[in-house]
Amino acid sequence: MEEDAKRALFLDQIKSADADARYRSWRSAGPVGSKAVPALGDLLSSPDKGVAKSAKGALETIALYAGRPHAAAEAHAVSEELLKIAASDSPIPARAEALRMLGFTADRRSVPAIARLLNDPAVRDEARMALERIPGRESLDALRSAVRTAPEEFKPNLEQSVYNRGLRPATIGIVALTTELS
Amino acid sequence: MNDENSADAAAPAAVEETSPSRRVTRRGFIRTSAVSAAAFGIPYIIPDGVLAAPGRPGANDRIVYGHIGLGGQGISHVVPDAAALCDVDSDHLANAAKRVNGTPLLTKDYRYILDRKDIDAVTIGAPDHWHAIMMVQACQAGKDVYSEKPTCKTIQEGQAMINAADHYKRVVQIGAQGRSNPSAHVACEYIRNGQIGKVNRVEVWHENNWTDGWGAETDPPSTIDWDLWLGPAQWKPYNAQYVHFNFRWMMDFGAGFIRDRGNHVLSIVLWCMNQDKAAPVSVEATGEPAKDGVWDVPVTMEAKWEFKNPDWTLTWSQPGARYPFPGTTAPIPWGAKYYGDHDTLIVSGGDSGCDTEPKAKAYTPPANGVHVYQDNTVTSADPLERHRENWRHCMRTRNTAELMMPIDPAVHVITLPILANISYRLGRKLQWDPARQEFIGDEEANRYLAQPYRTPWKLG
Repeated sequence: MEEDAKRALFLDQIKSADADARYRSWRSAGPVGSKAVPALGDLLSSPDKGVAKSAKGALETIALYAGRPHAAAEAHAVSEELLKIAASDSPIPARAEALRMLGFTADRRSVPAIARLLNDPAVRDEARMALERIPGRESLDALRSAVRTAPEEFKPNLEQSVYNRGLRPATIGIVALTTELS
Repeated sequence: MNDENSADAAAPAAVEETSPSRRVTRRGFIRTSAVSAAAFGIPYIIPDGVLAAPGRPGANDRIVYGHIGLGGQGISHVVPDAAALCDVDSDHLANAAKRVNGTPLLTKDYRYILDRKDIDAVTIGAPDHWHAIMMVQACQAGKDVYSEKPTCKTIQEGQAMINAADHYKRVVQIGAQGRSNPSAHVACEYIRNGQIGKVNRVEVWHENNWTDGWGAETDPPSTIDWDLWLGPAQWKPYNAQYVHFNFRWMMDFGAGFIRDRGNHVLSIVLWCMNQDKAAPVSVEATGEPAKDGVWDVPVTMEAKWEFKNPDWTLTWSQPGARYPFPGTTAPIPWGAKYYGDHDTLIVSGGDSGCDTEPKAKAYTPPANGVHVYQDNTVTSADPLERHRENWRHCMRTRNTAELMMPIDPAVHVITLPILANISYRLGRKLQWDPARQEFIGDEEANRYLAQPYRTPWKLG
C-alpha cells in the first residue's frame, strides 16, 4: 500500500508542471521498479516535451538500475514491462525506445518475444538491434532463424547483426570491403 | 564515364522503408549520392594525378587528397588541389569547393572517394559517430587517414581502428593536435624528467556542456541528406538541434565535452604521464543532465579513473576548479593540473591553444635526461598545421613511429571518456580489465562496448 502511494506520488511528480519536481523524480527513479514502467511508457508520448523527457529519463534510470549486477529478477521484471510497451499499439517512438532499453536489460527469457517483433515493420530494426546486444546463444539463434524467413528487404539488416555477433577483437576491421562497396 | 557522371546522378533518392529506420540500397546509393558538380556551377572532370603507387606516395610525389566532412574543423584540412570533397550538407560542400582550384569530385557519399584509386589520403571531419567506420573503410581502400578527434565512440570501434591501420599499413593520424604544440611538448619533458616529482594525481577541468531549448522535429532542409548524416546511428527524426556543432550535446552522437575536448586534454595527460599504453582499472562518473531541452548529455560531470602500476588517479570536472596560472588571476576555462610529490604544473587547454607555466618553458632536459619525440621536420608555427605536416611527412617516409598521434595511443586516450560516459549512464562505479577490454562482473556495462549500427554500415 505504501509502495503504491509512493509510486503514485512519483508519477505525479513526473507529470508535474514544475521542472524541478520532474527532475528530482526522474533522477531518483531507479528503485521505483517495474510497476512504474507502464505509466512511464504512456508518458513517453506526452505532448508536454518536459514530461516526455522526464518519463524517458525515469524509464531509462529504472531499466539501467535494474540491470545492475546480481539483480537478474529485477531486470527481468522490468524487461517484461518494456516488452509490453514494445508490442503495444503505442506510438512507434515509444515502442522503439522500449526496445532500445531492452537491449540493455533483457536476457534470454525475453528473446522469443523480441524476436516476434522482427516481423513488425514498424519496429523490426529496433528489435534487431536489441537482439544484437543481448548476449547468449538464444539471441543469436533468433537472428539467424529470422534471416531465413524475413522479407528480402530486411534480410541484409539481420545478416548484418549475425555478422556483427561473430566479430572478434583480433580481426574486427580487417576483413575485405563490404558488399556495398565491392 | 562513371556513375557519378551519369545523367541520372541527381535522380530522387531510392529509399526503402523498413521501419522507423530506413535503408538506402546500393542501387539507390549509386544513382543518387554523387552530387552533380554542375549544381554548384563547377565543371565536373576527374582530375589527373594518379600516382605511381596509389596510397603510397613517394618522397617527391604529390599526395592526392579527398576530404570527408567539411563543417567545423573539417574544412580547415581542405587543400587547394584536393581531388574530392564530401559532405552530406550541400552548403558545406559548396563552401569548401570555393577553396579548391580545379575540378574536384563533389559528393555527399564518402564511398565515392574511397572508390577513387587516384586518391592517396583522406581527412575525416564528419560528426563523431562516423569516424570509426570511415577510417576503417578508408584503410581497407588503401588510403592514409587524418581523422578528427574524438577518435571513436565505442571500445569495439577503437579495436577495429587499430587493427585496420596495422593490417593495411596505413598512416593514420588522429586530430589531437595538442601533441604538436610546443608548449605541450615542454610540459611533457618537464614532467617526464621529474621536475615536479612523482605524479600521483592529475586534475582536469572544463566548462559545462551546453543547454538549450527543444528545437522542433521537422523535415530536414533540402541541403542535408538526413539519412546519410545519421549513417550508422539509430534513426531519429531531424531536429536542427542535433546537427553540426550541436551534435556534441547528444549522447548518441557527440556525448559531450568529455569526449570532444576531453580527447584533447586527456591526450596531453597520457603523453605527459608516459601512459600511452595504459588503461584505468576503474572508472566512476556522475553528472546532472538538463531538466528541459532536447539535449541529453550531462551539463555538469565528475569522473575519476584509477590506474595501477604505477598508481595514480585522474579526474575530470565540469566546471571544475578553473585554476589560473600561478601569479595570474584569469581563470583557465579548461586544462589540467599535475600534482607531483614536490610541485605542481598547470597545462591549459590541450589543442592548438595549449599553454603551460614559464618554469616548464624555461627547462631544458639534460643530455642524459628524457627527450620526448617531436617532429623536427615541421616548420609551421600553428600547432594544427604542424600536426598535418607531421602526417604528410610520415606518409612520405611510411614510418608510423614518427606520427605525433597514431591510432594506438589515440584509442587509449578515447577509452577514458568512453568508459566515463558508460559509468555516468549506469550510475555506478565500474571495474575495467585493460587486458580483456571489458568490465569486470558487470554484464550490463559490457553491452555498451559495441553499438549495433543501422544497415548497411559496419566496421568490416
